[in-house]
Amino acid sequence: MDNLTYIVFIAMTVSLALILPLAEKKLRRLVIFMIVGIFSCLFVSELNNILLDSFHNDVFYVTTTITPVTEEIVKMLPILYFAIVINDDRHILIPNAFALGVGFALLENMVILIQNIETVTILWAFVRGFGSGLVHGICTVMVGWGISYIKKRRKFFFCGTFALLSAAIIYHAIYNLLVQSEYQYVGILLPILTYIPIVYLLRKKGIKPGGVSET
Amino acid sequence: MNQQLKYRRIIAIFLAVLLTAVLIIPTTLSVSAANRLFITELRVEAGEEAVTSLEAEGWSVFMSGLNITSDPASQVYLAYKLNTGSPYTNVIVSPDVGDSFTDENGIVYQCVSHVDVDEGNGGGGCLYATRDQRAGSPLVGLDVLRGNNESNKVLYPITNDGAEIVRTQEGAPADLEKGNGTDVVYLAQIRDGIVRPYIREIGVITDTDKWNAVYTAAERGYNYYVDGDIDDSSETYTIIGYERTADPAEAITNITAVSAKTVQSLEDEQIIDNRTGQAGHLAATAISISGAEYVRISSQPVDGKEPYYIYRTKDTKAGNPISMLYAEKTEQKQNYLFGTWANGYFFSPGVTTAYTYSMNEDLYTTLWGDQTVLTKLPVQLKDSVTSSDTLVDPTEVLTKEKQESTTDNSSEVKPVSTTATSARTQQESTTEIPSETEQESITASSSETEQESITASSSEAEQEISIEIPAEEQSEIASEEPSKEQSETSAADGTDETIRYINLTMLTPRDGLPETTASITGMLGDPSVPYVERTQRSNRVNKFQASVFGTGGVTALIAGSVVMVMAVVAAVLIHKKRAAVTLSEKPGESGKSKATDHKKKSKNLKNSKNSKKYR
Repeated sequence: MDNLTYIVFIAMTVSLALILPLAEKKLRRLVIFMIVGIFSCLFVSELNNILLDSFHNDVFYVTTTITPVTEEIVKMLPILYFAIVINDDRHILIPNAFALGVGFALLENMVILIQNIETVTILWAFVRGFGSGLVHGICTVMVGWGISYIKKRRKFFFCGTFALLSAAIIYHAIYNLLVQSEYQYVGILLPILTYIPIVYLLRKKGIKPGGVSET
Repeated sequence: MNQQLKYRRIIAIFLAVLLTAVLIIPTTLSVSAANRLFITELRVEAGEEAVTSLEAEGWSVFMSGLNITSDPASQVYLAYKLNTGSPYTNVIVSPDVGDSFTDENGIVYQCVSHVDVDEGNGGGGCLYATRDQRAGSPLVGLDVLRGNNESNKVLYPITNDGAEIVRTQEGAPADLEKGNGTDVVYLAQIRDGIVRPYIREIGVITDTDKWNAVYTAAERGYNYYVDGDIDDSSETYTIIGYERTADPAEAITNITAVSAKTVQSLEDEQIIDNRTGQAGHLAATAISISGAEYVRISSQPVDGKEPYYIYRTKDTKAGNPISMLYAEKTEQKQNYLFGTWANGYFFSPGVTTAYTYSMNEDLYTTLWGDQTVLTKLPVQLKDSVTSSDTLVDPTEVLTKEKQESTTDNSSEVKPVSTTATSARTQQESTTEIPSETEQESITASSSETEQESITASSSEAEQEISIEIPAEEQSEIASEEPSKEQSETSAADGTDETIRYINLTMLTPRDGLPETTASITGMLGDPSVPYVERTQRSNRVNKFQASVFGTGGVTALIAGSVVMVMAVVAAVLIHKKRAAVTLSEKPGESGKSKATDHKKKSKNLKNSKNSKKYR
């Protein structure tokens, strides 16, 4: 079925959207960012498809050099927008950025699941969950964290934004490259090893999911 | 410099080194990840325990042995290993002349194993292989092609680019079952990075035995053949062999069939030389249809209800380059096997998963997805009516009727008077290999005729041995289905035989094929699995697909663009609203003074932060 991606998208976003009227402001913001992340994934999937066609269906080449760029740009835009237009407080920005990344990973995992339904395994689920889920989350956190700094320093804004984007792209591309190489388990470990210090650091600074600061 | 700042600098340097290492290591890994796996080791073993022992040593073994035998003791197995470096570049079959030999080009071939590849069957020969780059592109695959008439096994056509039959030292295709009757076993090797999407040349090969015809096709340089008998004789087997090219300029753009009777009548026409006024006859080795020159590819007509000749052209006026050919015998006028065939082509045996997808998916998308131009060339078979002589107009299909044409259906070509064409008719006993050189020779032969009794005119155009067929008749020849009138006539004669045809199908991509070289997809197969697995599209596995790809729809893109536009508009509105609020809060201040004040504030803020930071 060609529109299975859209069906999954609708099923997920509608369910999440139903939380919004009942949720508190902070939770609502998280859920909205998740929905934005899911929509970003849908958007970028079609974009990636066009790019894949343009590069002669060379999946390996496209996933290691092209899609990290498109995905990180599309994921960064909502965070950048939120930081510039609404709020650049890092205590709010970082958890929401992570929610966006997780939302993105959710739909990505679902789409890949339905595209490879006959070959997926429990191992696959763990790999996708810990690997891909964390990679997208970490990349957006990286961008959100950075934006909260550079937003306040105008001299750094443009070069800083580009640097953040580049860092996220490189990180993402490294992950994509590793999981498709013979060192795929190194690729799976990479986001886990990055996630642990980030959590430690955020905890130390008192930033918790939901945008609540302990300090 | 205080102590804290020193520590910070040390940490910064450490992090910079770490970051550099993180960036360099994946760069190195990317090389190994992107490298193709090549055939780097080969081994031949005979006997019952060969497979077990080879697999125990980590070899991948072709389960289909190199012999067609029921005796496990005399079976010979080929094993290989894949790796990224030092690949084999050519394999040949040669009598056992020791550990190595040097060919005429100075390339040294090493003996793979001193095991006779035709063990117990009297054929003889060992595999020799070289890693010398002068011998060709690295080998990415091998395949064992077996043909056994008794068990009705099919010798699969090699359809992937870069595939070629392993040959002997003399250059002939090496039949590893040479001493075993009509059975044949060929070894095919597949070279890396070769993409030849277009059909460069075709030829007709007739033999009493199918495998001999295939053998002859391979011997004549055709790496591919259309798997189907295109003649109507039960005694002979006629196949179309073809060769592929990467250059669209070299590609065939159209193929057409012309009845022998039409050809005969064309040849009967007298050509009058402009200068001498002398009349003569020329063989219709080249004809002109709608301004495109078609070259005849067989010297003898193919047997059908109406014997016919096949002509091909490379003129771009005749269409786009042809990518595929298919022939089928059918009782229907329509080609129902199109879909089956398309899949069969792309996922044919002898290709690795990675290799198939990396180069053939482009073709698949272009040819299948884009609704390519499909041309059918139906030829009615002889037994379609019980007595063709009774028909009033038996040659309506594929013929350009001439009022003065002969009444009999004889396929004999009358001798013609020019030296050039006489020379050609001397070759009529065997079918010809059409090639570029042949085409050139036709032109050359027409030039030569200047020195003969019939001297061509000085005009280049007039020198061509071409006979113009009007455009309306070309369409009749090339694409028109056999008319209903024939079957009606047949029914009227009281014959209720089913009508059988040969459909020669050509596929031409509408906008040309993607000009690409083979590339790596990252979907390299597991080396422990023999790469000759019969991969189907549904079996495509990308275990840890790294990115998400959509369905090709644009709804999400449009929706996303709309959301972006709305977000930008909202941002502008918010910005204006905030500006208005700011102005209303400070009504006495001018814009310039506000800006200056803002800059001062931000500068003070930065200074205060910096002073805190370094305190």
